[in-house]
Amino acid sequence: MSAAGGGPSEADISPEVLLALGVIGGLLGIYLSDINVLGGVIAPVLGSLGAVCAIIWGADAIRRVASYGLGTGVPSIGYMSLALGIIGALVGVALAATLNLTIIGPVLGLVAGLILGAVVGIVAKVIVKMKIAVLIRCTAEISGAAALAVLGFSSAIAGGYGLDLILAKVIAPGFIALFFIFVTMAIQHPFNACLGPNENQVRTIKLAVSTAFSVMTITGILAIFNPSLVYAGVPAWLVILVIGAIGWVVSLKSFICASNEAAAEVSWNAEIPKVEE
Amino acid sequence: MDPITLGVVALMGAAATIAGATEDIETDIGSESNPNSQVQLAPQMGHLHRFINKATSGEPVAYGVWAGVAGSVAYLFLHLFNLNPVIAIAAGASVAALVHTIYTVTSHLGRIVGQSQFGQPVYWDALTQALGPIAGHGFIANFSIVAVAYLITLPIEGLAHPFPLPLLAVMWGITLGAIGSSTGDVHYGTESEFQQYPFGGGIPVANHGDINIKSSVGIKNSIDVGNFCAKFGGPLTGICFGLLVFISFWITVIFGLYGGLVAGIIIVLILIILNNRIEVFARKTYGPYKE
Repeated sequence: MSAAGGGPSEADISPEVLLALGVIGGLLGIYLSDINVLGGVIAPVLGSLGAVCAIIWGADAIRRVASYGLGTGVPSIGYMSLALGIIGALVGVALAATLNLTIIGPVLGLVAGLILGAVVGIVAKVIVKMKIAVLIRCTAEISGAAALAVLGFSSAIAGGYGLDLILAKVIAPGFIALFFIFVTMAIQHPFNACLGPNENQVRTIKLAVSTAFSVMTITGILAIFNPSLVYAGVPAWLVILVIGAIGWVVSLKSFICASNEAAAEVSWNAEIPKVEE
Repeated sequence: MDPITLGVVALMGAAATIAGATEDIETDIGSESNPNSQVQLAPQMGHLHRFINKATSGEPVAYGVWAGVAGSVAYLFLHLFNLNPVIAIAAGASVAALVHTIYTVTSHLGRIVGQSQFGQPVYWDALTQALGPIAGHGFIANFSIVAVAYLITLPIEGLAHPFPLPLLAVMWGITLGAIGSSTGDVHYGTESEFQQYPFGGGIPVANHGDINIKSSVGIKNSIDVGNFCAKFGGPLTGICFGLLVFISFWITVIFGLYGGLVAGIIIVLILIILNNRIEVFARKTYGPYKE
């Protein structure tokens, strides 16, 4: 349970496990998004799944920092960290392109996101004097997760993580703006939606999986913009869309079941609440 | 002055008015943004309620997402399939409505269950009956705001914005959410939730969460809130956003860039004076505080 109003949150799944899931899963997915197996149809799906891992990690980091009573600041720290994460991701792939070492782009993006997040966390703690013990670590983690998530979904549409591909297929059509705002929503919504004295980490993570797959589903639709990835008549966008939708439905169902179980009472009747006398 | 540009600007103003009105009514049905904190606190104050607690971030982020999804899908249909703009934008707004509905369900469930120790039940009937109006109003708002973003990109004199549609849709969605959050919410928040308290006194912290959960007959629900806000708060937000969009383009179309800046400053000054007069009049006429 989490107090959501001043103190560290209790966790059934340790932050380190989710960090490992986000970093390893995210990087692995992005790197595999560049492989050309089965006409490149599978690779974008792996890129998207890497981004899903990163969002789950970011949502847990938001939960840890927001448990100190951020309240309406939950969306704000999401917004801020996503901005840092996107800058980090683009700095990473741009730097890699400049050095002619495309392969190090995702790692550089992650590192740049982490550094930018840590710097802003230090400013908030040292200059603004916010008294949150985990602020620097969590701001860095959210920004790092944001960098990987945006890079993962971008590579799914572009068919790789090279700067040229991302510029042509994601930034020029403006999809990067949607990723900024939608990944913000996907990372901050789980804890923002579930906060309260009876918040529970597992339920929040179930919602994080659902929000992550919601972005993947929409990414599947947007991947129509890159029709070159086809194998045996099956386009990559369709595979992303179908797997994203299945993941979305399954995780959503799991979240709704968990909510019904944890509810004080579940009612389908328009009955009058009893307390007000 | 190009009459076609002026006509398009008028159409943008009309679309923005519809977007503003429906956005405000939709978010009021969901108790989103400012009134949301009070709905959230109500169970702790002993008021078990049947309101929708749609804590899907604040309105600016939420409408940035919905409009962004609608604009991106519309852009795809426009550029790859050369679809008619009206159909393409409607298709985009339909996909956004699906996302919007699911996020409504998850945020309501999450917040209500997060309060379960206070005995607040999950009323599935209250949730499901509100989903249609939320999705419907959201669809109209997203359709209208993406239409505004699309009209700005039309290759005509004075417009022809170089940014792609998805980017403009996100920016206009955030703007719409910000106006909806700041303008219409007061009608639901301080006027409907706290209608048992005298007007003009503000809401002291001690009264937070002490909201009115009864309607004229029976227990109030979120559809009642929608009906209440459709009479004043929604149209007011629509007029505000519509005027904002229309005037900000109209002044440059009519007076040019620098003349438009001067005209804009004059209009802002007139509005400040008018707002002050209206508020002083309202407090003197209806407020509890006498000099």
